[in-house]
Amino acid sequence: MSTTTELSETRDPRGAALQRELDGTLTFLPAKGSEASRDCSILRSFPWSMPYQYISIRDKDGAELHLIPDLASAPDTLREIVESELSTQELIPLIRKIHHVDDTFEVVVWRVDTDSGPVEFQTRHDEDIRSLDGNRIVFRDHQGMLFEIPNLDQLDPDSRLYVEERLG
Amino acid sequence: MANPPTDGFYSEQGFELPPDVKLLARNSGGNGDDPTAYALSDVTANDVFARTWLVLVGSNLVVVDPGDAAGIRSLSLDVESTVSIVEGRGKSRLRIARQGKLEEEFHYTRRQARRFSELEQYCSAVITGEPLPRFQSGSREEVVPADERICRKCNQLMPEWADSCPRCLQKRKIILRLVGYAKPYKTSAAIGMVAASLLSLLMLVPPVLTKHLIDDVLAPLDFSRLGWMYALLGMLAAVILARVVCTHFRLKYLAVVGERIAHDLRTEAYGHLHKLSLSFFNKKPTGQLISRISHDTDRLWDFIAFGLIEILMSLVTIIGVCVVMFWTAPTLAVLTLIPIPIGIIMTYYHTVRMRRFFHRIWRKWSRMTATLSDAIPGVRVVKAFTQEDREISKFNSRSKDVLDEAVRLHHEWTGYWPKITLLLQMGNLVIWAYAGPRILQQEFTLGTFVMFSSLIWMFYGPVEQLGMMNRLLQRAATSAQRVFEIIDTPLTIYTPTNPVAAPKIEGRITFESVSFSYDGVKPTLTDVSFDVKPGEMIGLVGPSGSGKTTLVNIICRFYDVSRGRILIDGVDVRDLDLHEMRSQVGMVLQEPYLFSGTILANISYGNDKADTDDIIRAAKAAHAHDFVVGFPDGYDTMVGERGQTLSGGERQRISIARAILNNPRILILDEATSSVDTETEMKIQEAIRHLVKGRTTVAIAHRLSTLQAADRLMVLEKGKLVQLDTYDELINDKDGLYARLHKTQTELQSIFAV
Repeated sequence: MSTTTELSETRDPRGAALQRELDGTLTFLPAKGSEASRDCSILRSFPWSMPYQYISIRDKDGAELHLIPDLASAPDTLREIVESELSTQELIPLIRKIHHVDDTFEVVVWRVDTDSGPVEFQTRHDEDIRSLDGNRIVFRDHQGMLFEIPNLDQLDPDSRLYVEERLG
Repeated sequence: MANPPTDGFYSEQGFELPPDVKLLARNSGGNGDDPTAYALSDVTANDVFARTWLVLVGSNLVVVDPGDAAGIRSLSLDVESTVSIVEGRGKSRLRIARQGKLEEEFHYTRRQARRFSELEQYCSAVITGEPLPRFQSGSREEVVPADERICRKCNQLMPEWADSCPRCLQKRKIILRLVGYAKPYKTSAAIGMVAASLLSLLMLVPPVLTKHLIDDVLAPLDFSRLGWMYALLGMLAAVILARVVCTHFRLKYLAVVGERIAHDLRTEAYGHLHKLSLSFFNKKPTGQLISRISHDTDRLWDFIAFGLIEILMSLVTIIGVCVVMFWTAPTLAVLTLIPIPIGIIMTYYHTVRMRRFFHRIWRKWSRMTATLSDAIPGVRVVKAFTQEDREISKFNSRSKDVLDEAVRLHHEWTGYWPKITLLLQMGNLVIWAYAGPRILQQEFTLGTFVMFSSLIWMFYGPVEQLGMMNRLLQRAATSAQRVFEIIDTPLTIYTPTNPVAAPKIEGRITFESVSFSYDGVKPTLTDVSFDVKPGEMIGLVGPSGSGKTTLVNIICRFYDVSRGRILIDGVDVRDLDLHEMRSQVGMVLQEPYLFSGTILANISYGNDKADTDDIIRAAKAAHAHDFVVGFPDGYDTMVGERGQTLSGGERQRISIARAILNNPRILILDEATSSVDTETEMKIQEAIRHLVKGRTTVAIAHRLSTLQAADRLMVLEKGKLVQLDTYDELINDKDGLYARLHKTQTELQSIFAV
């Protein structure tokens, strides 16, 4: 149905598909009949609790075109496009070690090693540090950058103490 | 480099282009032009932090990797290029394509978002050949977004409340500044200080007198010295009396001085607060501002009245004890002091641990109270969903957390004193072992020994005090800083030095390519231009989030525009006297705010001198008179937080009466979306009709009647002015946004109509 240059195209069992255009954008091809949507985007509905379920495909104005209930059961090619797009638009460095924390003046300054490299970030409020199930800790710094400790118990004791002191 | 990475930890904010990168870019961009925009691509496609600069020079986008001189590339932009931003979760990218083919993508984190958004605008301008955004006519100096709060010295984020970086500002300086506030109360402060020092010294006297009592009277068992004994007792009595007097003076003078300083700070901060622009209030939660003016100044009172003086007294006591000891028996003094360093170390660790515990318990405590402030206001929802048990168990578990933490805390501090006692008593035994034989050999007296034993106990209170000194100073410095920051926040919206006089505004409002952004990244209004004639009524419509409220806010100059200008009667609003201008602009808000006080006071708010006839006339015009007089207390009815509850329609009419009485030249009307019954609705409409007569009105309109009453309608969409015409014209323009909006609305109304 589409005559645009196709790098890869795939359809899930119900027929909906995604394709990557040469200009880097994504095009959504709905199950049947209706028109293809250029320049669409992919969002997770439950980024923390169910990252691989309910993946939302949206048109360029943000209206939902399609909801993938479970990425694991989607066809391989669709899953690959979705995964590659999500990985290029997501950055959540995993914290390996906390070197120093300074909270002299309300703002807390963290110096940490992450899998993306050493970085310094700053949190402002208690709500900026969120603890999730399974000892997962998520930081949102003042500019909205995200950092994660996948499992607090696996961090070295000094780093752990830094976090525990600032957790509820 | 302008912003060197701090010890390898990526902290760069990228607001300055390093000179060497600038030079490289200029040389490779051809023509030797200066860069127009730049951004730092701070992360690679593989999620590794990196530093690649993108510099726009002329129509070339130069890519510079400072680590690799050979890595300079240049992408030329022309009509066939497209530059776009793909926003992601944590990682966005600038996508550059040419002839429908992807050329390259540059990744960046949220840190660099503002720069990239600028770069993208500049690149697009280069591609389309439009003038570069920043150099548009009418723009003033670049407005620095208030959010860019990074200290240029230490390259770190400054706290929300801070205007100068507290990390770079020394604690000592803040405390000195605070102490400076004591200047007007020098005498009282001096009396208090002297009394406090004397008090500490007087503490040393009883042990000395006891020594004499033992050595001179009791030990010799000499009845002839009975007179001396009474003299010593008399001296003890005098000391006790003197201490009472000193304590009284110390507390009285310093408490009062502290109170006065706190009052001075409070009033200065509150006075300044009211001059600050709305953007200041938007960024700071109300609770935080309230706590700064009430809680922080109170904490400073505590510090001045007690904390500061306790530090002084501790020092005096410690020095005094040492002097007395070494004076009477140096060797015994050395021996006695041996356990002291151990005690000090124990005390130090104790305070550090206590601090940690306090921190934790405080957090748990606030979590517990958070459940209260969550559930109690929402009690109706809790009941409706029968979630009482859930809320109770949630609270119980949080309360249990507090309990556990408190148990740990008490365990900690209750362990401390027994340990200190053990140490001292063991030390005492050692001293006994040493001193016993020497007392018998009369090297020194029993009295001296007893004196030493009691002096040594006077050490620990002060040592503990000094152990907490750092924290005390820290807390005071933080509180002081928070108050000083309000005082020091520069006014961003202010009257220029030579304002254009406008005692009576005609009411012409002109927008000249006005753009506005709250944060510098997302534009809220883009290039809006229009002209409103004096006396004209404009209805402002558009989907939610289209910028309607922002537009009226900048007319009142609650914020200054980012680009372009707003003219009232042909004069830039920034050249008008702020007070004079605002007093001629009236506002009726969607959710009218009534202050606690009488209805009379609320109607005459801002018009203290209005006479009663005018007030009643305004109330009648606003259709408020009838229901107000119907209240048992009439115009004297108390409203506001603890007063009579008024219905939405009633509040609205009171606020309309307030605006009518104020008789503004320009009226801003933010119509309520909530629907009221038809009769009330008609009365409000009637009131509004009275209100808009003879003044320029900009109304954010929802009701059909208001829309039809307007001379012209202004349709906003995504911050742009898309239509500006009369109601009839807009309705007939079937493809226009307004016609579409209108259609959905009437459809909705027909669904809900009964």
